[in-house]
Amino acid sequence: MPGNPNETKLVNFAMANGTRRRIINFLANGYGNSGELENIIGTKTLAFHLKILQQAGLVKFEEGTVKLSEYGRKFLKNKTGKSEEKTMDFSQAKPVEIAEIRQLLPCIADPSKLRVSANMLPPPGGILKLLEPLFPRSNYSDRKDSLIIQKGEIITTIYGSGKVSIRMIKNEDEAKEELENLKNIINEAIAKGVAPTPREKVRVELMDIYNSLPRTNCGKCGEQGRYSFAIRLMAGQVALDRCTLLKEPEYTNNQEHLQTLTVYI
Amino acid sequence: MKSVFYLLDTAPYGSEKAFGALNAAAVSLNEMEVTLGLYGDGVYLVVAGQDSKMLGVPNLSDILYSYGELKVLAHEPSFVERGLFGETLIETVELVDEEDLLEAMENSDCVILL
Repeated sequence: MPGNPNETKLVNFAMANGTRRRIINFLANGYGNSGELENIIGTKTLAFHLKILQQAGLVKFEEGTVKLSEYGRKFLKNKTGKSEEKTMDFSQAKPVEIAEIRQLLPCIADPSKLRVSANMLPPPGGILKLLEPLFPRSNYSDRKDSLIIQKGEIITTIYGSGKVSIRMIKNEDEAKEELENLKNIINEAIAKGVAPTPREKVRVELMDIYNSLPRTNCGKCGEQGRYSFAIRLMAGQVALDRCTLLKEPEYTNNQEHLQTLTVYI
Repeated sequence: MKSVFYLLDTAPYGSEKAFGALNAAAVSLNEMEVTLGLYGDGVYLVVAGQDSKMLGVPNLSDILYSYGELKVLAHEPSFVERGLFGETLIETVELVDEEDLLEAMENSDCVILL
């Protein structure tokens, strides 16, 4: 049964593939006959995936059928119970420190800016997902265990393993300031001991933004027209206050509506 | 939005191909849907714990960490053939089999082989 770090690596490797995650879920739902699996997964790669799952100790073969091993069952159980555990863990989370700035190199997309790699200790691990609501423009990816935060041009990515990467920064001082801010925001939340309330997810449609903007195509914002302003607003490339017409009394309702929408972009 | 698939099948260090692929992928990110596909020796790019200081070149895995939103697909049988099965990999990678890699390439508007 996987217990030591090398065996855990095998399990992580086995579960890093979408097809194998599907196989495991099918097995958990009682499918076992390889004919059934072939129908769902396809014949070409099934044997390869089953072999890797078997090497990781997650499945076993018994009289022509495939079953979840005892370890596989436990693994799934832990996985599904994880999110509740994580929420409870927040009260025990320790304050984080930025341990080391490893690299400061030119940004690839824009060589006039810099990118920085740093490490956060202790690694945020399970609490990372819960930190998402602390940052207005952020997105947590469960599969990559990463939190991407956008603040103006600066894009910060934090990984569950503690790696932190910031790009599009002007200089080393700004990098230090950003890292310090990041640390303070996270530590403030940890000090409260309660996980932040998950942010309500609202899907903002481009046409909703477009229809709420003044129908003048005046070009005062510097864009060609209402449509291009709406696109740039959706992309976070312009701020809403660039549309000066919205400040006029006749557009008060439009402005309020757009302000609410832009929070969720 | 147009989509582009960069296919890399050479080892990350020793030539500029991997660095070139990462550069190209990073600059296209805002304009297109970008996928970086790793095949053959290209899969070494996502093995964790790389240290390129002695080579005097940038650590390429850090570029992948910087661009966490880049979709990276790695051909799994290539890992197994190279004895990398069970190695710790960079978090951002998705392992795919032959069929899924091919499907991703077919679904992209253009494929660029480096």
